[in-house]
Amino acid sequence: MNWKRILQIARWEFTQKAKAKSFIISLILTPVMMLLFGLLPSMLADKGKSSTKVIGLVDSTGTVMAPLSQRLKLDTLPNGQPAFVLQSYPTASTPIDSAIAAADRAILAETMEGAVVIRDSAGTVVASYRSTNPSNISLVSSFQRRIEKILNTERMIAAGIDTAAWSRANQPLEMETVKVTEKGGEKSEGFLQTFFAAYIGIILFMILVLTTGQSLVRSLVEEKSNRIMELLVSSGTPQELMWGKLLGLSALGATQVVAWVIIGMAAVGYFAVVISPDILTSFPLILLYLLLGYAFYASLFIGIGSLVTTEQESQVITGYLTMVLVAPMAFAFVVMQDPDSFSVAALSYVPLLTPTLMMIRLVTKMPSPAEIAGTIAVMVAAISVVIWASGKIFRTAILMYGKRPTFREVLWWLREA
Amino acid sequence: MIHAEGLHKQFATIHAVNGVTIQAQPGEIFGLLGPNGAGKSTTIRMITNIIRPDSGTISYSGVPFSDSIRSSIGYLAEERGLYQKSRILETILHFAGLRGMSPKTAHRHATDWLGRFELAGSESRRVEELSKGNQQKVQLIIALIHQPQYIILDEPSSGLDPVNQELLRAILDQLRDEGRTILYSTHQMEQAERLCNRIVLINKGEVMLAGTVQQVKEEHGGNNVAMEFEGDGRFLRQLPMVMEANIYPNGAELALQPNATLNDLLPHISQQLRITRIERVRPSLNSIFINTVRRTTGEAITTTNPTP
Repeated sequence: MNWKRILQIARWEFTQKAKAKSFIISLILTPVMMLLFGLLPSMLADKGKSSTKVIGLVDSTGTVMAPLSQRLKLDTLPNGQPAFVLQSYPTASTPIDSAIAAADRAILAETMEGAVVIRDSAGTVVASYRSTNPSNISLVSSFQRRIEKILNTERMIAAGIDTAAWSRANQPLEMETVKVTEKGGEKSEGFLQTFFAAYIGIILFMILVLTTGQSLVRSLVEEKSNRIMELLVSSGTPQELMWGKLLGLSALGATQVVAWVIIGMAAVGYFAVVISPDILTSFPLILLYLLLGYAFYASLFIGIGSLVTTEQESQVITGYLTMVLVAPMAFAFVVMQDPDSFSVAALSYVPLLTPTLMMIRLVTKMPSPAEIAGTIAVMVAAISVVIWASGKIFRTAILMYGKRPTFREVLWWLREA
Repeated sequence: MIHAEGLHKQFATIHAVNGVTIQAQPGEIFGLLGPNGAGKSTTIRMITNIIRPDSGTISYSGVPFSDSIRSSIGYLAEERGLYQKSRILETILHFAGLRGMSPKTAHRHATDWLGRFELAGSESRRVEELSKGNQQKVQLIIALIHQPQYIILDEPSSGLDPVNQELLRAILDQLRDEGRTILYSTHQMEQAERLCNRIVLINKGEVMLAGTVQQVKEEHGGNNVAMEFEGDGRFLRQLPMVMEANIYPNGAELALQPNATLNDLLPHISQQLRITRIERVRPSLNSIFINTVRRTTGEAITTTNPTP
């Protein structure tokens, strides 16, 4: 193999694809879209809280008004103004239905956001929320909780129960999680954060594998359908072509992922908090599995991709490989709950699943050294087999135009030469 | 010298190449002729080390194929294309780089060649903006830019207009005079006749004829008559003194029985055809090609007459 030619091919693949408009668009547009989807809803939600809302209160029990307005004083907007102001519609002198009608008029005139109606019928209290927009769930549930507490306290007082003793007896319990490690039981508040950092890492790994895999398959299809293959394999060996492509397009995929991470970190800012010391200890192993997984999938993509002759076929193929790649994410939470179970341990030895499963396991509970060594050995063996087979298939398949080889033909190529 | 000896290649059930031997000398254009599907491209792919022969040997000036020989071969494949979105100059430089040329030298040579092929000024245009013929010129530049000692061209003139075919011919003549070894594959006999010193004609993977163009013509130079006429000449094939007949709309080339003369022929044809020209000739490569192929195939192939 001639390294100069491999590098020449790698450089060509990288620069030609990097100059394409689609690459530049995806480099910028993808993080922008992600940020928009991630930040827009919370930005919109905050926007809704920017002004004080007037809420009407029609209370036939007559006990809620004072304690509720007391509690609402604690709920303020970012500018210090109260979030809600109560407008009472007394029911002592007027029938409750005309009080409700008065509140409805104010709601329709848009001077009031909504109104809470509390009726006491034979000891059972029924509450309702009336508004032009009754689907404001967070508002409804916060009023529900507050009024429920007020009424409970009223009833306890009426029944002669000591409310202070009651709330002591009803103290909520906080449960913190502590991860026990070799270095002694440390309180690790950041465990979930660590886990999600790993989760994001795995997702980035998948994006890297998929974008590179797709561009590998697409460039092979292009060279086949444009009849460039013969020129290429007369200028260098198929192996050089394969390695050059792998190198160039991997660099391209890595550039993309790194750019996204930088844009993401710059935009979100708090990323640094998430990286706890926990993830740093298992980081070399995570990186190793990441590289092994990448090598495995990329060589799989290039072998299968060289069999493909049209863009449609390439989409079907990459679609199935994507499903296999993403599958372990579906049971990531099962793995997290029971990382030692036999099925998880057994699946960790399936090369298609090894990298993802082991990365999840590394951050939840460190697998035994024997398992780590075993899975790495399996991965290395699987990669060698896939590279060997892909190389053989690649060498013959790239010169086949129009006709897709049969499964039997592919087996023949593997046996021959 | 490109020397391929006794090449064999079998694909599944087809014996694509069966004992083909080629010996192209420096300073000559060697013609590899044959109808479509004869095994020309498979032979060339073996010579360029793209596929491996089942048996047979290939050597370049006595040395087997190696990595250093790879960069002294200039190859234009029959199945050829370029990256459509890439720019012309960068495409040429990429392939020159693969052949080990430094960017600076490659740039100088590329500018030269683009000028020679009347493509100066198109350096930064995209390949897809060029006509098919012009794309083919770029492919020829890619095949020739690294000044290869061995030049292997598979159907190089298909897709070129007559002006550019002439340009290609002039360039090939010059390369031959510089002492390069040129292997030229085609099914267009008129071209081969004008261009090649020696030829080998293959059909169904086997060598049918081999030698210099003169030798082949002498060996097969029977008693031939070329004529031009107005009228329907199909009856000529049935005449007793005619062995072979290639009949065109306004003319024919006939191979007569060894002892037959023009005088024997004339009474049979003067009634039915208005003859404008008739003469005894040596057979064209084209009619040798057609007759040889027809004899071995055992079927009429008059419909595949190559047009000049």
